[in-house]
Parts: sequence; structure tokens; C-alpha cells
Amino acid sequence: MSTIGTFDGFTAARLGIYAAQQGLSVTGNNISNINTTGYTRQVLDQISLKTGAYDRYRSQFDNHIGTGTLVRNINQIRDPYLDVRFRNTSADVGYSDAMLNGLDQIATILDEVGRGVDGKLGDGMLYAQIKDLQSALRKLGEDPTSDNDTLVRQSADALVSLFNTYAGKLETLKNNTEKKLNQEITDVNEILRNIRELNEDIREAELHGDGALELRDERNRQIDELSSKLPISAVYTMEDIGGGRQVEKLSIYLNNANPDASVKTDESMLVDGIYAAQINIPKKMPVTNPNWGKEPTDDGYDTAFAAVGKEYQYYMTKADGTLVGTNDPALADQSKEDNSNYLITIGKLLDSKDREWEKPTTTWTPATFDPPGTAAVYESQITLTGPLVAGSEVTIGEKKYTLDTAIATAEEFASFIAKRLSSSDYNITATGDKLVYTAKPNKIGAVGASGLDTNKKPINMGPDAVPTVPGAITVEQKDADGTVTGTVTINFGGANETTKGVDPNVPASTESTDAYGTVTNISYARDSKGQWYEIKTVTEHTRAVMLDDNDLNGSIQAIRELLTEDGEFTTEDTLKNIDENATTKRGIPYYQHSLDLLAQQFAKALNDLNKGYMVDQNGNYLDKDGRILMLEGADGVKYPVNQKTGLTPEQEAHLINSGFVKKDSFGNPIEVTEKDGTKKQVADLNAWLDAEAAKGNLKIADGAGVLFSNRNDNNDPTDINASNISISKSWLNREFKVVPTNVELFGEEVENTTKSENASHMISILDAKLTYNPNDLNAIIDSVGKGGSAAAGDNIFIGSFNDMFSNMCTVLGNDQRTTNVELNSDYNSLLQIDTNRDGVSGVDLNDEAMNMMQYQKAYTAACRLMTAVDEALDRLINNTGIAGR
Amino acid sequence: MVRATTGGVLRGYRSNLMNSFITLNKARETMLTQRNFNSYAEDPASAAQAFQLRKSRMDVESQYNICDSAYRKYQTAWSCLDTTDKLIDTDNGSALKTLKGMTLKMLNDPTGDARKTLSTALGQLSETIVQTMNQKYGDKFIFAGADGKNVPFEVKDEKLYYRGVPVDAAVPNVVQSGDTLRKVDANGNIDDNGTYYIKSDSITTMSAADFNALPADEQAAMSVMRDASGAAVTVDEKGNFDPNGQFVMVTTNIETISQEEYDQAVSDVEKLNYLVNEKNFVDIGLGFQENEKGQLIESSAFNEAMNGLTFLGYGLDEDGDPKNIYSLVQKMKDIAERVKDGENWTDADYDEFKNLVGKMEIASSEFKVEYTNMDAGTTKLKNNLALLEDNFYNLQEQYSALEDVDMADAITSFVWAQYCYNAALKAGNSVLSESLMDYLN
Repeated sequence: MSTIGTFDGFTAARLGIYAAQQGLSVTGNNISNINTTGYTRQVLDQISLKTGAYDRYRSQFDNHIGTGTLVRNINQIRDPYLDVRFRNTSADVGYSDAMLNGLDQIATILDEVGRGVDGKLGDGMLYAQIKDLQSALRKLGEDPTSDNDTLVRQSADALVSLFNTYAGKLETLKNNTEKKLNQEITDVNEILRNIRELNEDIREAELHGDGALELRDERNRQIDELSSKLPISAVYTMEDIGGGRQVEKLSIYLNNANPDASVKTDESMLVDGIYAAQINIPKKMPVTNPNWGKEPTDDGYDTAFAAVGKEYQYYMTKADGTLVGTNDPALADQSKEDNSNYLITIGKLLDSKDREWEKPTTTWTPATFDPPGTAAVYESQITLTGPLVAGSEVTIGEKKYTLDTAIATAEEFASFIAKRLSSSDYNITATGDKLVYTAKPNKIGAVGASGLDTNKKPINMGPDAVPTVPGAITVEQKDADGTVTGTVTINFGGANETTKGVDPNVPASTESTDAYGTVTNISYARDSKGQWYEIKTVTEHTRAVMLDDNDLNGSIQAIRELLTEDGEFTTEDTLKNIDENATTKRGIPYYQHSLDLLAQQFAKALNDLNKGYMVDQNGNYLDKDGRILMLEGADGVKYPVNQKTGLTPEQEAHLINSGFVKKDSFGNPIEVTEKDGTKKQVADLNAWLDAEAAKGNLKIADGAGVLFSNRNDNNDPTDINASNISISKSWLNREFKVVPTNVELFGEEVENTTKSENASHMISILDAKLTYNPNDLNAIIDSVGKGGSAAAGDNIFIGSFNDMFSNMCTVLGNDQRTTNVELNSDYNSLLQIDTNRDGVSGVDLNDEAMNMMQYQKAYTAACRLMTAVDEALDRLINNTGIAGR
Repeated sequence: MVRATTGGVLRGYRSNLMNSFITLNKARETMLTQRNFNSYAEDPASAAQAFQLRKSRMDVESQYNICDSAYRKYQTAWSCLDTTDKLIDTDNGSALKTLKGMTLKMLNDPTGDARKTLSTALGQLSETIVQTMNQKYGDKFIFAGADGKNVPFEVKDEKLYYRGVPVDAAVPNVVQSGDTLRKVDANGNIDDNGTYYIKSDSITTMSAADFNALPADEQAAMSVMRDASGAAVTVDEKGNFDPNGQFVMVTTNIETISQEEYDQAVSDVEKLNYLVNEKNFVDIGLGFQENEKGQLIESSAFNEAMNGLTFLGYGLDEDGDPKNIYSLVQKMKDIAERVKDGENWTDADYDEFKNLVGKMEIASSEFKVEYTNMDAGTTKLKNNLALLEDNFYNLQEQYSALEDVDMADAITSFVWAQYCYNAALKAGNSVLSESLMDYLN
């Protein structure tokens, strides 16, 4: 039987009551928080208590009994893996949700399903208006009166108004989406600050031994919310806070969303313990170093920027005008170029008092030098005046050495004594009859110090201090009985320097800062054994990071893509340098540019047909006097220019020689390949006619002119887009009209007042299959003219104006469907994961009811135990040993 | 799932309830709008197809209006031509009321009792025909080709003009020298700087051999075309100058025409040839398409232009007589008026009048042919109208089939969705109702 304390039973009962009471409290807390968002179920961490050690005189037959239970902690039940899955999926849901929301808003503008006017619901608005214009043109063709011209103009006016309205709404949507992005950025920054503050509070609580469970719940809730906006991964590590104590540290990184493995900005840190970054969208872009990643021999290397190292992405101009490299976009010079791609910058990691984050790491690496340094060596010659008998006692300083065997020669003595002499400054060995003193490298120095000097600089190895030798020592010689029979003198010769000590070539200490602001300090030191080390201290500093186009996922990325993605209008530069998949991504700009291209092509087609260049009854163009227009051929002979038969080969050759050749949107001549493989330019009759018309050499139909202009107070047909397309000023005030015919019969001798072949052309062009090439868009042409790059797509669609508009809506509809499917799929996954997570962390009433009963019973039982022990002790104290009393 | 917690169960229930409500709402929307889809996103392919069909329907609507207008114009034209036809030769109750009747009466009236009256009536009738052919449909002249704003036929100095061009214009045959026209002076003498041509009809030829066989004095006395040296010019059998010709030109009745008159005649004929073929195409749903050069493919459109010349005739025949009905009448009237009332025809007048009556018959036949052709055009328009109407309903049916819901299906879906939603609500009541807590004492 073990020894037992008198009141152990009370202790066990008391701890049981205490534990049960705590259990009831925790259960109550769980029940109270069953509806609290982000609350994690709490449980008691209860252990069995055993006090004391084994008794020294304990019997082997004793049984050791515990003394109750102890509530060690109150824990949360969470599954980190489910958290990771939840947050990854949450970013997908955030992305799909925001993207679908944006696409739905575009659809509210462009999708005309079910829309219509005048009892024609379903015919669409812009879609039906194009047909209405065609119908008006048919009426004009049938009867080319001014009334019908007015009808056409009114229809065209309604059409351009729809273009303007749609373009305006898309622009408004873009502005609103930009505001939404800014709001999201603000929300993210607030969450990041909240997490930083929570980290501080949790750290503080942990230091005081508190688990800070409620704060952790709130932090998890904030992280969950953040995960729908950005792709993140949360990492928990232990942080040494000194004194042998560690606290948990939460770090949040971007979650490596960019598929390009070489891009590392997508792993940037957002939160590191009590430090957190803020994100923003700078208005301007930092200026890129033209020599970034380039060698001087590479193409495009700019010698003007030679001072800026190739490792720097940006450069900045110092006050004295010199250029220095930097990888911090916030420090770099800002270009005039707007941040049109809404690229996001992650700022420096700062704590709540705006102190910057830094992380020093020190490593010691053994080092060798060239020359490595030479130890000073001294020799001292030994002579004996006679042999030394065994048992002789040689006293050097305060130490006495007894010879075990007889020594006959100086060599033997040197060998004997060298092993026994010691010096903190020298290693002592024997060579023949000489003692050799080799300086210990860290022990002898010019300054007389040992080890490292106070500045941790290497000390001089030089032997300015000569070793001290014993000099002459007299040794008594005794026989076996101890009788002194004589003396022998041992002479230690003076210390002669045989090798001069040389310092090693220790490099000077250095300090450098790399392209990312990391400071590296290198110095050297020896350890107590003389080993040299390179001491490298790398101190990482925080810096701003400009994210790549594809570094993000989540709602912010979706909104960015809505604001920037241009589909087939994406420029080659963007495709090459920013996103290789950009041509398949379509945001608001894609639909704006598609609508612009549609409006532009529409205006051009009808304006071209209304130039009114007159021809005679045989199709010959007429000059200003009504005579047949002549164009000379390459053979010098003049021929009529005929609309129906086209140019003669000689005329074609002449036009090509004169530079009137067909050109692409950017003014580059178009070449066709002949059967024999040669390439040939193509004559452009229309360009020549335009040039002649500009000179006033052509006969122009009455009322001919620009129908659609870029403002309704001018007749300028350039740079038309969906926002500005207007009825021209002169059509509006009836100076111009739709020219029904360009044919002049017999020099106006015969009238053709109801002829309308030109109106027929217009009717026909509205149904003609035209090619919609992004590089025909005025905005792209302007950009290329200013040094920008061309669009990557070659054509979006081939078809009529109606078909093009319908195609835009079909593309939009398909994108909506795809995104909706993704959203449903992701949302269901998220729901499943959240339910699973709830399965681990959530409060269940049945569970809590069981716990409640369990702790209640335990409480009752502990109380009962206390009563039982009390009764037992009462029996022992009051009712034991009273027999015979 | 290791644990089914109260919160997890509620979350699942809430999500499923929401899905059920969304389905119910969608079914309700489908039922109320009676449409299978309300956005491109719901069914992009069907939406695009429906718009394509609606576009076709809008085209058909517009084409129907144009076709209907053309059809009505043709009907009016048909009515005008019917009237004209009656005026020309259809017995309209009285043969004397037709051109042909009157001319036959005149031909068979040797004593010429009523010739003057008939002649006057003939003139009036021909003018009526012209007036009929100047009819309008709406505010456009029907038979004016592509000049519907101006009256097509006009009589000036008893000559008929179509859109300002004399309908009897013809290029006179003149003597040529090689590939060029032989220039002469006003009297018909060779003159390289002359401004006249010799009318081929005014000269005759005789064999050069016969001419040369004549004695010299007879040769000198003969009126033949001579060069500057006085030698007779050799010509071919038609009278065209030919150095190797076997004939000489007899110039006894030589007539010349000024270059200006000749050029005007050439121009007028060119105009008439253009005008009679002039077309004005409209889109009545035949495809209306241009080729790569931007020229209309004619078979894809309908030519709505009607040229009066086609019906009444133009130009001169090989005898120099007009082909135009009005001009024929005028010529016949002139002949008739040459004979005094009560006198008999001269043989020559009678023959000429009779000849013209025959030509009137030909012109009348030509008129009937064109009239019939126009009738075919009317039928084509009528058929096209019917076709467009069919197309219209057909297209409506097609996009309705795509867009409109099957109400029975929609109502069934809605009722089912409502049933599911109600069931979900009921399930919710039990989800929230009980736990172990409810059984604790």
C-alpha cells in the first residue's frame, strides 16, 4: 500500500468539481455561440493528475494512484487542411462571382433578348434599328424623295443614338467597376490591418498564457473574407521571442496563382506576424529599366542606362541627376503612362507604428586566405653537462618533472621535456636537441591580446613577444639510496627566431545592398582554435512589389479582368509581355471596342457609298466638267476610268508607280502573290479618285457628302466610334442627302430623277459580309501611330452588321454561361468544404447536450466523492479507536 | 463527414432551400414571360438563331411593302395598258373608237366621206394614248423608266418625245470612205473640210464598166460623183467610196445632212437604246446581292422600271417609217389630210396608207407582246407577295418555336417547382424542430 495523504481524496474531489464546472462553462459558451459567425467549438483539455515522486522507501507492492484531474487548457477544434481548401476555393468563388456579376451588367446593356419597341418585343433595339434603316433605304430606293431621305436620316439618327447610349452605358459601367475595384482594395487593406492588429493581440495574449481563442476566431473570419478577394495561403510558425519562449506567428502569402513558374511576385508576403502590407493601384507605372536582364551585347541595350544594373527592373533619378537602379516600384521614377492595366502594388510590411519589417540571418563559414599566414617559430638548443639518471627531478618554474628512465643525451631530454612543457602562446615540440616554439595564431599578437580584439578584427600573428626559455637548470643526481652523487646542468639556449610570423591576407569587412534592398554584411573572425570564419549577416528588408497581370485570383482579379481584358483587341505587346492567354479573355474593353468597330465600319461603309463620284451611262467616271475622266496608263496613253470594268493593266501599273496602292490599316502596302510566286502591289483606284476629288477634279453628285461624322456639328468622318458616331452637320441641315444615284445620263441631257442604284448599294452593304479586323479600329491605328503595337487578333468575325452585333451578344452569353457553371461548381465545393469544416469546428446541440449531461453528472459524482471521503475521515477521526473507552 | 452539426445541417438546408427557390422563381418567370429564354446567356445558340430569324422577318416585312407597292404600280400600269390596248385595237363596242378600226374605215372609205372626221378623231385618239401612257402611280409617272418625276411623253410640233428624246430618232445611212464618213459640202461635192455627209438613200450606183463604156461626152454630162480632177469616183455597190469599186455614184437626186444633224441623230438613237433598256432595281426578297465589284446581281432583284418606249415603239424601220404608234398615226393622219374630202385616194397615198396600216398592225402586236410580258411581271409580283406572306408567317412560326414556351410544359414545371419548394419548407420545419436538448429533464 502506498503512502497516502490524509486529504488526497478531497483534492481529487475538488479537482473533479472544478473540471466539471469548467466543462459546463465551456459547454455553455459553445451553446451561446452556436450562431456566432466564425466561432470554433471549444473543448476542455483535461488530463489525469499525478503528484509527487516515487517514495524512496516505497514497497514494490504499492500501487500508485492519481490525485484527480487537471484542466490544462481550453482548445479549439480546427482542421488546417480544411481551412486551406476552403480558402483556395473561396478565391475561385470570389473570382467567378465577381466576373459573372460584371458580365451580367454588360448583358443588361447589350443583351437585347426580349427587348423591342412598338409592339415588336423580341426584335431587339440596335439590332432592329439596323434593319429599320435598311427598310428606310428601301423606301428611298423605291422613291428617292426628300421625304424618304428624311425617313432614312431619322432612322439613322435613332441608330446612332443607340450606339451612343450603349457606349455611354458601357463607359459608365467601366467607371462603376473601377470604383468597385477601389472599394475592394480598401476592404482588403482594412482586413490586412485587422489581421495585423489581431496578430498583435494574440501575441500579447499568448505571452500572458492566454490562448486568445475568440481573437483567433475573429482572425480566421477575417482570413476567410480575405480569401474571397485574393488568393492566399496562411502559414503558422513559432517565433522565438527570447528567453527561451516562443509564440505562434501567422504569415499570409499570395498563393502562387501565376501559372508562369518564373514569376515569384505571386508569392509575395502580405502579413508576417505583427507586420502587414497594404495594397494599392498606382495611377502611373514605374519606369522600366531598358537594360533589365540584358547584357551590353544584347539587342536593344541602351548605353545611356549602362549605370543601371541589369538586375534592376526600374530606375530612379537621384537629386544630382544620376540614375540608379531599384526594384521597388514605389521608389522608381514614374512614367507618363497610365496604369491602364490596373496592376497592383503590394506595399512594404509595416507594423502598427509604421516600423519596417526586417529579417537578419547570420551564417559562419570556415574561411581560408591567400596567403594563409605563417606562425612565428623559435628554436632553443639544449645541452647537458652529463647523463641524467632515472629518478632525477627537473624543476622548471613551479613545475617538477621526474625522469622515469635515464636520459643520456640532449636529444632524449628535448624529446622528454617538449611533451611536458606547455604555453598558452606556443606549441612546443622537439627537433633533435632543440625545442621548437611555434606560435599559436590567436595567442601571440602585437597588441598582446588573445583571441579576438574588441572590434572582432583579426589580430596580428607576428611574434613580437619572444618565448621565455628556462635558461640553465641544475639537476641533482642521486643513487638508489637517495644519496646525492653529483649534479648535471641542463642549458636551455636562447630563443632564436627561425621563421618569421606573417599575417594572413584577411579581406576587409564589406557591406552591400542588393537589388531588392537586402543588406549583406561580411566580416571575418577566428575561433579559439585559430580557425578563421567568414561571418555573413543578411538582413532582408521589406519593399514594395508590383504584381504581374496574372498573379491574382479572387474577386479583385475578376474586377481587374473586367476592366482590362480586351479579347482579340489585345495588343501583341500585351500578349507577349503580360499575358499569353489575353486574347481569350474578354472584359468591358472588349465589348467597347467591338461596338466601336461596328460603329466605325458602319459609318465608313455608308460614308464611302455617299461620296457621289459621278459616272456616265456607260460607267465612266466624269471629271468636274462632265467629261469622261481620263487616267493615263504606264504606256503614256490615257484611258477612261470605268466603274464597271475597272482599270486597264496599263492604268494599274501607272497607279502603282504613282504610289496609289492598297494599304493595310497602318499604311503598309498590301502585296499579293502572283502565280509565278512574285509579289505585287495592288493599285488602289479609290485612293486615286479620292485624291482627284480632293483636288476638285471629279464631278460630284448633288448632295453627296459625309453622312456620319464624329460630332453632329461637323462633317469630320475620322475617329468615329460608338460613343461619338453622329449624323453629320450637313446631313442634319439637309445640305447633304443620301445620294440615290451617281449616274449622269448623257451629260444631264436625260434626267433620271427616280434612279436609285446607289441606295441599292447601301441596302446591299447593310447585309454584306464584312470582315471585322481589330487592327482596323481607330484606337489601335492611333496607338500604332504613336509607337504602340498592333492587335494580336486578325479578325473577330465575318458577317453583316446585324450578325456582328449578334455575335458580340453570343460571345457574351457564352462567357456568362461558362462563368455561371464555374460559379455553381465552385460554390457547391465551397459549401461542401464549409459544411465539412463545420463538422469539425461547428457547435452541435446534440453534442453539447451530451456534454452538459456528462459534466453535470461528473459534478454530482465529485460532490458525492467529497461526501464519501468526508464520511470516511469522520469515521477515522471521530469513531476509530474508541473501543474500551 | 465526421460530424453533422446543427450549423452544418442548417447551412446545407439554407443552400438547398435557396436553390429550390431559384428554381421556382425561374419556372415562374418562364411561365409569366412565356419565353424559353430571356437572355443570350440562357441559350446563346437559340437566341442567335431567333435573332437571325427575326432579321429575316424584318427583311420580309420591308420587302413585302416594296413588292406590294411595285405590284400596285404594275396593276395601275396594267390598267393603263389595258385602256391603251383598247384604244388601239380592241373592239370597244364600236370599232370606230379604236385606232385600227378607224384606219381600216379610212382605208375602206374610197369616197372619203368621213375621212376628215376620222382623221381628226385619229389624232385625238393618239393623243389619248399618249396621255394614258403618262399616267402616274402615286406621284411618279409609271412609264417613265427611271425618271418618274417628269412626264415621259411629250408632243412638240406634232412629234413625240420620250424624256426629251424624239421617239423617231434614227441614224441616217451616209456614204463612207473606208472607215470614216465621207465629208462633203452642202451640195454634196467632195470636200475634206466639209461639214456634210451624203445620205445613202439619195444616191444610186451604176456599173463603172457601163459608165466607162459611154462616150466621153455622155460621161461628162452625167451627174456622178467626181474627184477634184473631175474623174468619176469609184464606189462599191452601196455607194461607199472604194478605190477598187466597180461602180460610180449617180448624184442626180443627191441629198446631204449636216454633221450636226447627224451627230444629234446618233446621240438620240444612243439615248433611245439606253432608255429602252433602263432598269431600276428594288429589293423584293429575291436575294438582293452585289458581286465582288459592288455591282448588283440582277437576278437577285426586281426591275421595277417601265419604259413607255417599250410599249409604244421607237425609231424607224428599214423603210424609214416610224415604229412608234403615235408617230405612225401622225403619218397616217398626214396622208389622210393630203386628200380632200370627197375625193378618192391616189394610188400612191392609198398604198402608203395601206402600208402604214400594216405597220400599225405590227406595232400593235409589239404592244401586245410587251403588255403580255408586263402581265407576266405582275403575276411574278403577285406570286412573290404570296411567297413573302408565307415566309413571314413561316419565320414567325420558327422563332416562336424557339422562343415561346410550351405552356403545358411551363405550367407543369412551375407546379413541380412549387411542390418541391413547399416540400423543402416543410423539411425545414423539422430540421429546426428538435434536438437532444428537447429531451433533457
